[in-house]
Amino acid sequence: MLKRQPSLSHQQALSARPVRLPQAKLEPLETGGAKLKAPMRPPRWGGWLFRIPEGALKSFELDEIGLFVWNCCDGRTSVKQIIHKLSKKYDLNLREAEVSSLAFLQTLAKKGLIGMEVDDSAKH
Amino acid sequence: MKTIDRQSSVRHRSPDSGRQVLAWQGLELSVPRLWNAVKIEGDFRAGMILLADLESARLGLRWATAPKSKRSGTEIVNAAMREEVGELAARAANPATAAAGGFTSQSLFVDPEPPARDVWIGLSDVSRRLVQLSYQAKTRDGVLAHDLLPTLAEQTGGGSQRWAVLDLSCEVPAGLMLHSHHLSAGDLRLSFTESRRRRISVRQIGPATLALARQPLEKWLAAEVAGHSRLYRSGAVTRLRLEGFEHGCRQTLARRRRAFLHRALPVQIAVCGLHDAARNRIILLQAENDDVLQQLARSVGWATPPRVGE
Repeated sequence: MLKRQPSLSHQQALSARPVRLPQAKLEPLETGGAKLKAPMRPPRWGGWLFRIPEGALKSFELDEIGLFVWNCCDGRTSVKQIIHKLSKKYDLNLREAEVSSLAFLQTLAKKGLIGMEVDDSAKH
Repeated sequence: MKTIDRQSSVRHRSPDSGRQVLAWQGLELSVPRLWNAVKIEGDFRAGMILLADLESARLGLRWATAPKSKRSGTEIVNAAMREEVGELAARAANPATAAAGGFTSQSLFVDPEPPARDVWIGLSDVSRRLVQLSYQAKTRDGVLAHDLLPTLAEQTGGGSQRWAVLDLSCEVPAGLMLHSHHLSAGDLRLSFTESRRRRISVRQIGPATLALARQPLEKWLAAEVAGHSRLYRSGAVTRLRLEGFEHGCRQTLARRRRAFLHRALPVQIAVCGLHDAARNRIILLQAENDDVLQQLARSVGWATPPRVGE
């Protein structure tokens, strides 16, 4: 049976709190960004065919803004708070901060670098 | 190196009031800073803008040119109100008075049972357009009547036209119509045209610190002119000093001889790149000559003063 991803309402998505992958390690760069290294996991389908060597890492390069959002993913800061913090720190319009941070968080989630803590009471 | 004197009085250096100006297709409105345009459609004759905060849609602004008819302005407005909210609700609408400048005929409907939609419709004296504001009222807060309507105005024709959306604001010479807009996070562009021979483009990239860390201003300028390389030959890049900007550079593009069939295109295009350190933005401008470029450069950022002390 196919497992469906739970769908979040807009309210829930804004009040969700992203959490960093504990195994991910950060190496700061001179440019102000950082290199993020996370252990590779075998794919869901065909994991028995495409074996991943133990200890293999995949790396991602984050710029300054990406690093800021990554550091905010501490399990206590909600998406809405991240948007406001980003807007204030880099003097961005709120809409620009919202679009860019949501897109970035979505990418991090797809790559398996963050998880989302959702509070059911956020429906209000 | 070219030097341009910039009139600092054009820029409004007032402290951040928690509000921002939306100026689009000749209409100006002051809205809370938390509201931003999430949908923009149409042109001068008819269109709409939807403003929302992070939670939900808050305000709809819609305009359409009223058809020529023998009916009075009040009758046109009342008919539009009936069409919008229904016959029964339209009877409860009041002719709004002193609510907005430039709208002699206007009507305001306030729903007695919030959360609901308050609607204001007015007929512009300047452009003969029916303008409608629909406010999603969560409580009986009177925001539409007391907070928004007094700030709504239509720019009178003849002079330059002001534009402001999200973080980008500029004034363009009269006669130019909006040709296209691209509003992406961190990269906002408005292009105006009057004819094929007269085109203006205003592009804003931010934050400038990150953009300049990626590549210098001269390369941003080079990327901006790359799209013209087929029909235009690039001149030398010269430094540009403008009061209020950290530094800048400019370039003139000349139409190639082999583009002789494209006589409708301008003979030359002036392009410049400016680093606005106060607002942490890069501004890239294109115009048909240096005079228009200067005028544009002076006006960019009129609606978004640099924040001081934050």
